[in-house]
Amino acid sequence: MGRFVLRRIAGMVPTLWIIITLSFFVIRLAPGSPFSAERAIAPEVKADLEAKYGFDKPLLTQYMRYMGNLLRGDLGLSTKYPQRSVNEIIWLGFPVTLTLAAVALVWALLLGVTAGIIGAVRQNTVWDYGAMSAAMIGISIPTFVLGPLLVLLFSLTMFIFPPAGWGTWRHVVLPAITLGTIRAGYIARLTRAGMLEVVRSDFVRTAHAKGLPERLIIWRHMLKGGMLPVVTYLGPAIAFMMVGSVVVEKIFNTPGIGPYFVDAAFNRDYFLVMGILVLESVFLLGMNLLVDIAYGFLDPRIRYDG
Amino acid sequence: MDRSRRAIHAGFRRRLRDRFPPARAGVPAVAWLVLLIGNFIAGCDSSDPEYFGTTVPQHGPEVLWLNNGGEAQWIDPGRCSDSNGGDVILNTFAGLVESHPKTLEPMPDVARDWDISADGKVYTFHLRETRWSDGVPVTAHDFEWSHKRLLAPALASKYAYIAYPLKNAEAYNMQALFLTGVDLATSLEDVRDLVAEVIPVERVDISHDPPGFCVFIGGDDDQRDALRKRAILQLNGRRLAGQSLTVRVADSTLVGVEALDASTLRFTLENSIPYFLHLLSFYSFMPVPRHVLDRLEDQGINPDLWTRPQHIVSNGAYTLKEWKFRQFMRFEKNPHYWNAANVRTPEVKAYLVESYNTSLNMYRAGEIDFPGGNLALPSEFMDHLQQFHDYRYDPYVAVYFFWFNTTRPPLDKLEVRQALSLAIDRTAIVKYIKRGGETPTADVVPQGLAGYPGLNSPLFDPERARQLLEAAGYPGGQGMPPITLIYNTSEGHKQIAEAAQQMWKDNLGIHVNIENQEWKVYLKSMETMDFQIARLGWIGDYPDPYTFLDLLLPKSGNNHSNWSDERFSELLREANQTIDQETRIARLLEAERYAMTQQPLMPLYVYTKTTLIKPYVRGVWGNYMDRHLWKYVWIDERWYDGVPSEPVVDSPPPLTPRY
Repeated sequence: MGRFVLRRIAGMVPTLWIIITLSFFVIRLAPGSPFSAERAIAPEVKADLEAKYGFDKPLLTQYMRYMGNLLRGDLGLSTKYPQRSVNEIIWLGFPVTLTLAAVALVWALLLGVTAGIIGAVRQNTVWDYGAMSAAMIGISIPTFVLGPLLVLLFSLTMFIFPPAGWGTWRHVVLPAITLGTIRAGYIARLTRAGMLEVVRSDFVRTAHAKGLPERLIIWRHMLKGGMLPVVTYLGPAIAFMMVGSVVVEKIFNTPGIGPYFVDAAFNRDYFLVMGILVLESVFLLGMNLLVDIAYGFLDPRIRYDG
Repeated sequence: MDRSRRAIHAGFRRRLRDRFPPARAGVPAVAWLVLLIGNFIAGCDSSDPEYFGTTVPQHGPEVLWLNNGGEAQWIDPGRCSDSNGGDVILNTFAGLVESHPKTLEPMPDVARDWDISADGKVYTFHLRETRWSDGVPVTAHDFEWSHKRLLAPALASKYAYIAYPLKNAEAYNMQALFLTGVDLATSLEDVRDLVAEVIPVERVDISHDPPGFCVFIGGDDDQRDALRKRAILQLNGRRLAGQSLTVRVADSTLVGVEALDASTLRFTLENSIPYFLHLLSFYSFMPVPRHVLDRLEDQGINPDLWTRPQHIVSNGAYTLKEWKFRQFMRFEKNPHYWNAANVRTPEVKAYLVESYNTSLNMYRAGEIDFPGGNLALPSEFMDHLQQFHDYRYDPYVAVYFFWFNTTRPPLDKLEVRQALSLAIDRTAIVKYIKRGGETPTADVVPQGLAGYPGLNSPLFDPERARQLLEAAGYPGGQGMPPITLIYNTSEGHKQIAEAAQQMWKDNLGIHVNIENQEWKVYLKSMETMDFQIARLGWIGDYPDPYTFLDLLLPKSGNNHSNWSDERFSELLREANQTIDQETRIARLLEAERYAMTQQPLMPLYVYTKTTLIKPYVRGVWGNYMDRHLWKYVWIDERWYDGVPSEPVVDSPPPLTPRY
């Protein structure tokens, strides 16, 4: 197990290097500069600004310098927020996005797994159809529709939750529901499919034969096996949440890192784009690794040999 | 208008209306749905249907909640170039003068009084005894240092050019070379030729102080330091017209701002410009607390961080107490502000919300009282929002126009440019697309700016447009080479481009392609002049016609027409050397008339600022510059108990007397 983890981590390094190198050069291919604006700036001023960020050096030198700084943990300066370093911007925003994603994930799991179990246990009944239809609706409603609708209902009519902002638990509720609901739909369908597969397996039949109560069979035997597809999906789900927060964080003016995915690229904020990419890549690769490890615990048939 | 023309006109408007029905144009179905449900729900809630959202303040009368637009880039007066930061600066710092909240007339702020020399070139300000928010006295030396800092090449301020009217300011900012010890009668060409032997030259000016010539260096941006060194090395001691040259790089001591003592500040200008006092109320001219920057440097802290709440010291009505990145900034009244007695609201919370949808939601729920000037309402919602009492619009000193690239055929033909301009029904665009009370215009300078009468160029004349096209050799659009209009990706610009395309087709029989580009790509196209027609908006920096006419000067860097004309430049130069305001306005008008006969661009309309203000918020007056200082704003407490029966009398403050 330990050797498996180490090998996987070692494998992540070249992947990361390729991602960083490719993105570093690709973002520079986009026309325009971080300093271009509606109003022309004096050539002397532009030269000074470029020197400040090192953009006046040849691209290869810039790349070497960036990689050097990266190894020291320095992600550079933002051009859009010139008085903040990329480290500071991420330090301020990442916990927010993470909190949002975590609450959304809990919401998605609660809702999705419950609906999935109902669907599987009461297969082909009104319960099943109802749960699966709800899941389908959840999948189909885009966040930019669900978000404003929730705001209308809970903020502008019932005055329960604030329409935007961040700071108290009340601010988390609406964005987390918006972000989580679409994932809940997928999770419901996956849970149902996984459970149905397990329903017909030998060990469940054995459990029934032993005369175990229904509830115990569902919780102890079926759910563990039925959750495998869901666990596989958790990696991408978290990734989707990070990307999905681009829209949700805009709607609710949440100060997370979501909007940077798009805005930093639009602003040609090179170092911020890179910083977000590095963060996201490390996070995703780490998540996938965790999912693989969790597999081993959930399914006794899977064991990682050294 | 004869009958046939009226028929064309009416048919045209009908088509436009079909294309952009007033109530729905361009609204994504989703926004519509939300608005519809919103209306339904609004019918059920308890708030006053006359207003958009709640009318009961959600906070005490001692605080104001507003939206400042997005996150500020800089709130350092020397470095700021974004309007979000600019608004914060105007409310936390006090300059020599401020503009009256309604008329924009310059009023004394830190300056108690001032004298202007007879030639209009020397301004002497007498300062009050005022203090920074940490109790340290504000002196004329602080102002001198701040203005020179704004111009310092090392600071690389994007707005340094705003101070170019000061003597030698541009030379210092651009690190020009002063050639002294030479006879002033020497011709500019001789000087230019001599310097050009050694380095590339952008332009040469005569300088009176120091007496000699001022040479602006050309060539690659990043080579200029080396060029400067080379010029000094090779030109020093060279002989020109029998005299020996001395060459030096412009430095801050030559700039026309000087503290005569702690309470007297003298500005010397290149030309007499009547808008100089207005200019001084711009945020770039606010003072910077040098003592704080020095202290941070001594403590080994990056002095760039002086604007963080834990370090910042300011001299204006408010001080920054809390700054949550991309969430909000919280301000408290500054007890050391000289006029603190007249600051009406003790606390201000400014949200940093970029999206107007989110801002509107917060406004509706009463989480913000005033969406602020940095967000204009989207035209899709205009018809809906106009019906409420809290909607308002004010003219704004900004013009929307299309640049013509006058070197690209067929736009190199004057008649083609004129035909394209006359074939656009600007009134229809404003009425059916923008819908925010904008003024259609075919002039670069908005009417009424500092007493400017306006050119009143014809807005729409399809008959004449067709004649011009025929004169250009394309009767009925026959044989017209392809033309493309580019715009930066945005729903609003798209609608205008499509309308223009349709009007050109209907009125001239020509097909113009339209193409959208992502913002930075678009800016690149503009910079490299890689386009035929391109849209742009221009916001004036100060309420004077010059802020728009300056745009057409070849050296402005913002002229995207490839049109440059010595006569136009000469007319503007003459206007700037005139002290008498009436004569000056006449000269400027002549210059604009001349420029518009050449049609390097075609203006479409003068902007308005549309916004919503809660009825309990008082003291926000509309003005041309969309400047709303928080110190005048207050909460009408009677609204806590429902709609007050008596309207409140809310007259703007009198012009502060000089004393």
